[in-house]
Amino acid sequence: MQTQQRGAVIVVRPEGPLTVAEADGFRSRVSELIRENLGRVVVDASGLPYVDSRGLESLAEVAQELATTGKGLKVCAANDTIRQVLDLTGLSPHFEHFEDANAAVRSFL
Amino acid sequence: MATDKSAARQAFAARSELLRGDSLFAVLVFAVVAVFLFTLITSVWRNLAFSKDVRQKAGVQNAKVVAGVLATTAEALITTDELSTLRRVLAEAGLEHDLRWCRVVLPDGGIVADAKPADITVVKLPTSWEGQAAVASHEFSDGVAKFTFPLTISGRGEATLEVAAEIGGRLDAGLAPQTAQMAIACLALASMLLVHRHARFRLKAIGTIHEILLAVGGKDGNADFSMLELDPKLGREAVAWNKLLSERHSTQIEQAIEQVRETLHDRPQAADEVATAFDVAPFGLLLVDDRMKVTRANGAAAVLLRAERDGMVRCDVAQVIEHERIVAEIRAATRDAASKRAVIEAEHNGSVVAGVLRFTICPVRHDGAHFALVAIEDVTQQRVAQEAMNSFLAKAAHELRTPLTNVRLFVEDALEQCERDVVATSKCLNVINDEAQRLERTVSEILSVSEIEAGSFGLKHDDVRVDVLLQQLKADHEAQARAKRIEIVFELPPKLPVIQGDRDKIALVLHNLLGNALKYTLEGGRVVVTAAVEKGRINVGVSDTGIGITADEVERVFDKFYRSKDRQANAVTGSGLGLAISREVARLHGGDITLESQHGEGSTFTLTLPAAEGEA
Repeated sequence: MQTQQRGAVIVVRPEGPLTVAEADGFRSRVSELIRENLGRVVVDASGLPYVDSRGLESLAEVAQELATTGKGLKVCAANDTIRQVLDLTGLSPHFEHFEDANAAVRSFL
Repeated sequence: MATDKSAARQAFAARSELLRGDSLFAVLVFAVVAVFLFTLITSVWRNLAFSKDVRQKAGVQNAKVVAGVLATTAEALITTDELSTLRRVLAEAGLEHDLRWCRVVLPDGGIVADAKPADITVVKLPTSWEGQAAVASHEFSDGVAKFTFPLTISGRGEATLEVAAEIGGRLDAGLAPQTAQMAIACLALASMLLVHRHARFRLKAIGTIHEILLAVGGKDGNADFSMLELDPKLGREAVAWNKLLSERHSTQIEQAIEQVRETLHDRPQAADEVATAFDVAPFGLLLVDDRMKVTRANGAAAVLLRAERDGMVRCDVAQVIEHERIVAEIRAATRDAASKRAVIEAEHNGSVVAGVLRFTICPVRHDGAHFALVAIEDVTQQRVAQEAMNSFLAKAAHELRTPLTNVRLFVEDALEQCERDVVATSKCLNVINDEAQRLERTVSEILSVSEIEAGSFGLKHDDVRVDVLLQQLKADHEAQARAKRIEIVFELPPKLPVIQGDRDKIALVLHNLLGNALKYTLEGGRVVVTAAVEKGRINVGVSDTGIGITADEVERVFDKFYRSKDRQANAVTGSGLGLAISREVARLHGGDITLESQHGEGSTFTLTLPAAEGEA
């Protein structure tokens, strides 16, 4: 999982599918970054081919954590598969979607 | 409240269980007593029956012996013709042994002698008589034992002695003491049961209190004590217990009222629409009272102040906000009725990137109480962007002014010398041309950067043949390498994938990387371009034996307009935008550019781009 500092924002880019094997690590790492960076975190989904149910759960948990601070989880460059999964599971409204990382970073302005 | 009811229910259930246990014990005691009584009565009855049987047998035996003696005596006395003696003997025997009858009967039925003289029918005994006597027999029925003895009177004939004795009367007399014993035992048992019942009734209240205390002993003291009240009929102890409970209940209510008052004053109110709105606000909110205690805080405030949300409430605001100036403003807002809204920006640990928070402190007046509402916004990104923009403008102006100055100076020279010296004029025009191209490049790069910043830096999606791009790259830079006597080597695999991306922009990145390598490598150096596919990504590396970059500058070379402080590097012209744009292009493709460098030894830039699997 790569992280890029863009201005005051951290862009997290998981590589490969987000499944039961990676979900807990992803969840704890993103939570840690949210705390360290006062919530200025973007999840770049361009490296995510697909997510399984546990991966979805971890994304939803992070979104829920941010929701208690009045913010949404910003996700960028999600492919059609992931967008469809989020729509079908009704989780889509819990995320803020952006085309690319720059657009997501600019939304913090 | 729900917890209280649950605790009370548990206490009550435990109590009921204990009471049920007590009832079970009582039933068991009564069962044992009943069995004991039954056993006792059965035993006495069996004893009576046995005793009656023994006495009956003894009475029959006694009557038989008496009858036998009387038969012998009667035979002798009749033989000697002493009838009067016989009759006296029989009368005495009848009285003494309580015989129902006792008589001597002739075969014709005449009664010679009888215990009751009135029944005698034969006064004088005949000399001889005929007939046979009855056979010897005995029988026992209805409490009467009857015996028949044949008498042989020598020379005269035969007679019969009939004796009947009542056995029952004697038996009844023997039973009286045992009946009395049984009656006494029953009375004793009944008394014991009465005493037990009375004692149990008297102890029931204390026992119930004991059980209740055991039941609620492990609880937190918040049980509903009204459930534990006792029936006053249980006695004085129950009344006293109820009074104790009532007092405890009153105290509990008073404490609850006090707690509610305190909560209303000091703590956040119960969840309502305002509280909910407070929580979903995207900026931090703190409500501080005139004692400088935080009375309300939302989730965003907890994150921005790096604190635990629950720990913040009722906490002194100075423990939550470390900046003295902000705390002073909050204090003023909660005390000074005339204070106005204050806005203060504060950096975390003195660093902009670590976080810049904007605190807006608004005084609140409500029902004579003074509060301060503190709104906290994270303006870090705005500050970073503002600083970047300021820096960008300053550097862009500098980069544009340098070639413009050169152009103006050489235009002046050319104007002065155009008629006298054609060669000098031509040289000036060449410089002007170079500077104009440099200006054009810079303006073009600035436009690219501004497009990136504005988010309008779009990508086309072409099939990009990396091998073709690299061959073109080699052709474009071979002359420049030759001019600087730099060896340029392409170490490429036989086949490279076709990737999806913006061909022109990827070509721009490759030109930037190779161009930089050639610019910052001294004459006689070497530049190696490699390409490899690994885990679905294509990595293009550009290594040089140039001047290198110090470790602290490795990441900064990707910043816009950043120029190395190294004197050798500064000698090379450049806008400082190429690497920034190249990295953005790579990232927009889902890739990146990384740098490894040793100062004085050379650098390796690696462009990573995603390649569709199976196309290698």
